[in-house]
Amino acid sequence: MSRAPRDAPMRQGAAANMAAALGATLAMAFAAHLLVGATALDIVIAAPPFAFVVYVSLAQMDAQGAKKAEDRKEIETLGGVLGQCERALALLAKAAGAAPASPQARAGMGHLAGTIRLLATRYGRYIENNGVWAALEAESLVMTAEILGRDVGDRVGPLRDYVGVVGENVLDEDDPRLAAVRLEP
Amino acid sequence: MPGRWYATPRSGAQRIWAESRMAGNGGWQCPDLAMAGGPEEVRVAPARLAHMWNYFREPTPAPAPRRLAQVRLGEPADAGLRNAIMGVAAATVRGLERPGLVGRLAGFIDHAVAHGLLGGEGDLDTFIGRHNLQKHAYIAQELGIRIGYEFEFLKNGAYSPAMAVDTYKRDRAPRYAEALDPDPGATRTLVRIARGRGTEWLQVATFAVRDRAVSGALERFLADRHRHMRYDRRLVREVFAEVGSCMGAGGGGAR
Repeated sequence: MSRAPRDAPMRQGAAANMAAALGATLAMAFAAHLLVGATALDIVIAAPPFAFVVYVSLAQMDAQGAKKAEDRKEIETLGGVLGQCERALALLAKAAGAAPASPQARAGMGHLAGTIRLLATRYGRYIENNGVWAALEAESLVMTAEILGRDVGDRVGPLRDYVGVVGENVLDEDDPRLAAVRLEP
Repeated sequence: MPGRWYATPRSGAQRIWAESRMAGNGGWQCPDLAMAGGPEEVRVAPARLAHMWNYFREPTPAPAPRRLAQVRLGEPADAGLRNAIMGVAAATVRGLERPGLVGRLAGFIDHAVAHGLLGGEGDLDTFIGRHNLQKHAYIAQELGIRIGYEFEFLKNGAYSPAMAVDTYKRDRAPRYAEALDPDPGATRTLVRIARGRGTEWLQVATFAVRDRAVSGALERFLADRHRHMRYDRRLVREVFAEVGSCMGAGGGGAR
């Protein structure tokens, strides 16, 4: 059984764009002939650049759509990472309540620090400034508790707030700031 | 009875006390004699106490003699005991030290509200309000208003984890406004630098205050793109100029 090449959807998309560009060019030629009496020579001269412009525009729209879909997927994953932070915080509160300096509490902090770092670094572009600042502060709060052996129980409340602030500041996939980033070459 | 010591499980505290005798005596090999008293016992008592303190303070126990059966029996109980004791000790230390610090923080918050740095205590219910307070407190400390927190620098300016935690406890703290005792000159400078400023302005101001004594700090700040967030260059120039004129580029300032 032969497998389809990995770039098959891309090729299909390009072929569809070419067909659409050809269709639009024929329509333009027909309309120009009817409306302004364009001759065959006029159409032969004008059609190739017109078809090229239509093709490039369609390809650009496809690329934007693909980037937007990727952003949507990343934002969904970001929601999952935030959920993981909340779960870690709940477990951390339980572990810290039992024994503040226990290995479980330390392991929980390590896990939380890593997850928050992921938020600030990988998903920073999907979070507004306030959220990024909250993630930086949360990371510092966990790191100092972990390294300096501070009481975890005290920090669960502020950390929960920080994670909440990050969650509130996640951008929507249609946000103009994300759209502007997508337009960058 | 030969071998009795190995076979009898002891509680964690008993074993540690027995080991501490060995530590105090410089290599005593018979923990069964741990209960013996006398002048020798009095002489080594400080060393034994220090040994016990180290045991509870360190995450790993002091090296024990090779008695595998005993170690296996004692370990879980020791971990629980150590955690319990450290928990009580930490709570006691917090109980003794934190109220003063939180009280001074509460005093500073009152001070900031009185001078228009904060709109009101309600500001602190928001993340940005608490974030701005951190920057105010750092600048105030650098101006000589001693609140008592240690700050570190994140990519978005000065931040104190301890203060962040204490901000949540301020309602439970007694007011120590008189203990804060801010110098009027320092307060005037603080108000001039921080009142009515936006969050990014305050963030950059903490960097400018930190580096006020460093020559070429502005150029270095503008050239460095990794240790801080990206700020508008015009804003950065404005902040450094304002901080320089308020506190003096030579580092003297209002201190």
